[in-house]
Amino acid sequence: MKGFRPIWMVARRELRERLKSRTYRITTVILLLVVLGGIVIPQMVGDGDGTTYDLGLVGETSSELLDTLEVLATTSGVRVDTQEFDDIAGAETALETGDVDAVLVGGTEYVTKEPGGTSFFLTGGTGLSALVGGAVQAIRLQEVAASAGVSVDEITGLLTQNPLVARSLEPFDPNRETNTIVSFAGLILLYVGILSYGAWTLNGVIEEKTNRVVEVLMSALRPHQLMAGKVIGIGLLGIAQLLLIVATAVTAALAVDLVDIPDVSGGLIVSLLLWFVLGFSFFSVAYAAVGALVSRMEEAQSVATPLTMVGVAGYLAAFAVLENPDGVIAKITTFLPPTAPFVVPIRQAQGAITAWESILSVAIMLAATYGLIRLAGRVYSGAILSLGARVKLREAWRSAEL
Amino acid sequence: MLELKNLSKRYGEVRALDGASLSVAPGHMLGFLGPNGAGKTTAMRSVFGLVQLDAGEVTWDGMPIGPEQRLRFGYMPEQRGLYPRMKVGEQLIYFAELHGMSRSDAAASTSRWLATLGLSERSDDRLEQLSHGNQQRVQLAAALVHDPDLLILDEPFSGLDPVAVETLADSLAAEAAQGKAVVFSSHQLDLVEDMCEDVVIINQGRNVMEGNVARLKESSPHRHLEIDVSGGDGAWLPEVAGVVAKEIDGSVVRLLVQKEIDLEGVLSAARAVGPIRHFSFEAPSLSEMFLRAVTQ
Repeated sequence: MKGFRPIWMVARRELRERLKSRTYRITTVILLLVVLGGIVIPQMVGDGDGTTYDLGLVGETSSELLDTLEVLATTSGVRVDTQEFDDIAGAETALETGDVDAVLVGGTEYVTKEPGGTSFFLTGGTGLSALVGGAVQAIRLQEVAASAGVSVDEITGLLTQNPLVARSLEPFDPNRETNTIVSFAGLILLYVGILSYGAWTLNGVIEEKTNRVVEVLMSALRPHQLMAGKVIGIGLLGIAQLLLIVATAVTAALAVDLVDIPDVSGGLIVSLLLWFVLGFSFFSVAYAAVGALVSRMEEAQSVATPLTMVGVAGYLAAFAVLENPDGVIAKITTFLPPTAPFVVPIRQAQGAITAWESILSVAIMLAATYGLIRLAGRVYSGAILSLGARVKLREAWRSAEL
Repeated sequence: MLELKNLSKRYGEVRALDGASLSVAPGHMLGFLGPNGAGKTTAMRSVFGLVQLDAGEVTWDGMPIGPEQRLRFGYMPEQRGLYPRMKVGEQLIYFAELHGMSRSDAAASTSRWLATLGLSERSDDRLEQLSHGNQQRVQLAAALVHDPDLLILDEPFSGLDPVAVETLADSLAAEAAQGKAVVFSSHQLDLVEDMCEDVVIINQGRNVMEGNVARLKESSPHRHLEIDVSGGDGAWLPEVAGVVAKEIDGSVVRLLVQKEIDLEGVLSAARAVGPIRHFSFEAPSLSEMFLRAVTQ
């Protein structure tokens, strides 16, 4: 473990110094506030549970219709508040000012501000027109059935029974839907995390170069040790920040009853974490290598852009895979190190990846990262001491000591 | 014992090193001299594996130098640099630990060096809050904090005020006295003459002069002869062989002469004019020898 001690020393310094830095604290607080705000504020502004519609009523409206409307609204997860008006003119004024969303006249006429009126065909969903239309249809159906001598219960029975027996070739996975949602959220976190913490590595490397502390460091450390330590330190910090944010988001969401604890397979969480570590390591090492090529912060963007594009490509590939987790793109991108971190968790969540594919992709990723550390180490040592103009990749490669 | 033998390094068309060599034994301090661009920094970097040499050998106690040996070396690079926002004390502890010291040893050594360099009360300040001179002292401490066997210092005196120069010179002398091998480069040749027993002068990547400073001066073919005779105006000076250059300033006669000049003849001619107020016969200074060596 002799070779690991210096790596850990470098990692520990990164952790300590960054934890102390105002930038890290401020970004963490801002991120937490944004996440909290995004979850809590809509709940406070909205009327508690979901959407609420205001429906103006003019003239006679049967109580059956109102009851049916309420049942439909409740099952759709929305609320419909009614408000009675003495005449049409009063109701229309309220509609104009937005006090009500629509007016139901005599249980037969539906008035809105929509140009050309509302079409009740093909609407469906949970909109107000769909609810009111559905309620009216249900009442009419009951009336027709009753006049034809069919009881309400029989009608209801017909409408609720399973018309067909369902069978699927795919095995039933009760977690699949939540897994997809969680892996989708995980994908976004992976993407944001990998690219933004990768940028920290890039900046850290350039900083050491501009401070010129790097020559002293290089007299005691081997390039790959410095690089590995930096990547580990920043990676741990990144994971800590991500976990803090996720934990806060889940706690806040539970507190405001937005969600129940999602029924996610533990395997998916482990896989997301594993692929964050793998993806972050791979990209950070690459960022460190390109960071060594430049001497000034202003040049950072130009060397980082190609890498960032690769990251974006991996992210986009994951969306294609989300559509078709068994396709050719999915199979290829599983084994490419820049795309695997985004693609594999998605395929895992969809249950569309075999064990040997998972294992092979992790193995390829580890091998690629190790190779990249060696490669980047050489570029790093060849370029890190030049303080003038931007170093060409090939020159750095050649001037490195082996 | 550090030995650099026949180092050679090319950067494109430029020959940075072209056969330069030096060696320094424990307990000795070597002044490594040469004009700008002579290859001093490249040679010093080669000790730390920071340049890939085209040819030549770099050894410590006869063995090629690897990462293990380097942990026992201290380096103050020409390009100064530490972490500006890190606290001075923590920074030194970090560098000591990187060189393999335990945390407690690192902390003890850090406070010892901060005390020696008069920076004890600045330990909790960030480096950037210190003056330039004090930052330079911290940089020196970073090279010394892990108690290295070999010190390589690239222009440690540049940019320091005379007080700081003296503190630093004393610290280095003390380190050498404790058995460390010290190599430093400098353009302050009078200082080098005072501090070092041995020097190596390189130019265009090659050794042009090397050895014990006193012996080098002794072996110089020239001497400075200065005579001040009361009432004299320089006209008394006899025609002697071996005078290279002559300058007369009132009653003072300054000559650059061959080492083997007939001193007796000059002296008796001077005595005949009047009482002698000043007489000196000295080897040239290191800085003159340097100039001659690098302009040849």
